[in-house]
Parts: sequence; structure tokens; C-alpha cells
Amino acid sequence: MIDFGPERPRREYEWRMPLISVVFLMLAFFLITGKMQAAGPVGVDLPEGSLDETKPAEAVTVYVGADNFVYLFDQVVEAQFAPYMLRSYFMKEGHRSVQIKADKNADAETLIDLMDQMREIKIEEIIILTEHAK
Amino acid sequence: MARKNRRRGQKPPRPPRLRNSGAQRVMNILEEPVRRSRKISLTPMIDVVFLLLIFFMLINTVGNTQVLRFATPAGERKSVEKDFTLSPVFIRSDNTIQIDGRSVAADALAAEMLKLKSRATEVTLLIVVEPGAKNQALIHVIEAARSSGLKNVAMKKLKDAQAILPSGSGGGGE
Repeated sequence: MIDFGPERPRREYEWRMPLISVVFLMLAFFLITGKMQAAGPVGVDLPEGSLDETKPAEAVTVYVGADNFVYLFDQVVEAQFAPYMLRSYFMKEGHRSVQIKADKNADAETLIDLMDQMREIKIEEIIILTEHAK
Repeated sequence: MARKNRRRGQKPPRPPRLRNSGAQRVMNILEEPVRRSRKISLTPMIDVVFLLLIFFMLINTVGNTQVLRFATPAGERKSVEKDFTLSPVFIRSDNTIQIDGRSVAADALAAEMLKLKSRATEVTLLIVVEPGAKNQALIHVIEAARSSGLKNVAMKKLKDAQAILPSGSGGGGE
């Protein structure tokens, strides 16, 4: 049997080192894996999905809340008035790609109307955001 | 007195030393060697690291957002032609999905759509949405269409779709 001798007395701060190591590792994990994202104008509970396609570089985000209001930056309108807001913004800015962040409890009709309007104002690509199914 | 002492060959007495005077204290500090503390306190560093950790945990979004991309026929008000093989899928007000008058569960949709696809060479899927149907059901149908390889997908509200729906397809609501 190997005799390792008496255990060396631990110094006062030694018990804290594993804790600091774990906290540093967690910090590094969140720094690497996390992604900064600006908070949206409305809390949206995304619908669950299973498909994931390649993300576009940049696209303007239009939010549709569970109450069917449409949000574009700081502007909020009812779904029926959304065409005016979208037209004035997208015609001016000349975007060709839009992503829609619609609540899973929003009316599907609102989403269809919104996509129709986007097609009319020559938006070439529509991206619908979903959430990975649990 | 001083003259008397000089004459006698004695040194003049020193002025009294002010030990506690401010100047003396400054001198003492300057003369003392710099003392370096041997132990660095880890507590402020741990505090800062914890704060950073909490900040990043709260601010970061967990990467579970997915995207569905659509290319639109931009600018063209293209209606669905009647000559196409239209395969309507209904999303009812209670969010049930119906194909050929049968309710289909969300996980069986892709298989049903493969059957629709095999019926003709050029199949256009027409998603018909009733008032009150929710976005989640629409996403289920879109994803099923995408995974079954259907390329032509149109979405219409029930009142807009009635004109183009084949008779007996269930457009009247069941």
C-alpha cells in the first residue's frame, strides 16, 4: 500500500478555487454560445417547428402579437392598417427581405394578409421564425 | 547663553524633536519601504465574475429560433390557376387540419402530403384558412409541405379561396 503521508493543510482561500473555475467556465460558455439580440417591441411566443433553413444575413423584422397587432420598430397598427405602414416604410428603404415574428396564437389570417401585402410591395423573400419543438 | 557655550567650546543644544508633528509623519511615510500585501483578495474578482455571468445569462437568447424561408412571386398578383391540380388543405377555426374531408394530425401531415404529391405531376397545395385558425396550425401545414417536397404552395383565406376551390372539396366548412 502506498503511504501518501499526512494531508497537507489547506490554505484559507483554497476551497474557493474550484468555485471560481466553474464560474469562469460558465462565463466562457455563455460568452461563446450566446447571441446578443435586441429586445423586440412585443413579447412573442413563437410557434413550434421542426425545419430550420439557413438564416439570412439581415432582414427587417415585423412582429405580430397574439392580439393581432402588427409592430414595425416603434410603430404599432392593427392588422388591417398594416399595408399602409409597410408600404411607406419598405418602399422608402428598399428592403427585399423581411422576417416575420408572429405569435403562435395570432390569427393565421393576419399572417396570410401580411404576406400578401409584402408580395405586393415587392418583397422577394419572407422569413417566418419558429421555435425548436420541445 | 549660546555665546557663552561657544566660548567654553561646547556644542549648542539641539531643538526639541517634534515626534508627532505632521511633517515628521510625512517623512516617516516616505522613508518607510513600500509594503506589498502578499495575499490578493479574490472576493471582488468573484463578485465581478458572478455579475458578468448573470448579465450574460440574462441577456443572451438561447439559440433555438429557426427560420422558414419563402420566395415570393414579388409584385405579381398571381392567382392560382384552375388548370393546376389543386390540393386544398383546410385549417378550420378549431385548428384541426383537414385533407380530403378527413382530419389529419400534425405529425401525419407530411405523409398525407406525399400522397397528394403523387396524384399528379404538378400539384399546387392550397392552404385554406378559416377565420379563427391560429398561426401554429399554419406553420404545421407549411412545414409538412416543405418536408414532403411540394414546391407550389398558396395560402388563402376561406372567403378568398371559395372562388377557386374545386366543388366538393370541403370549402363550405364541415
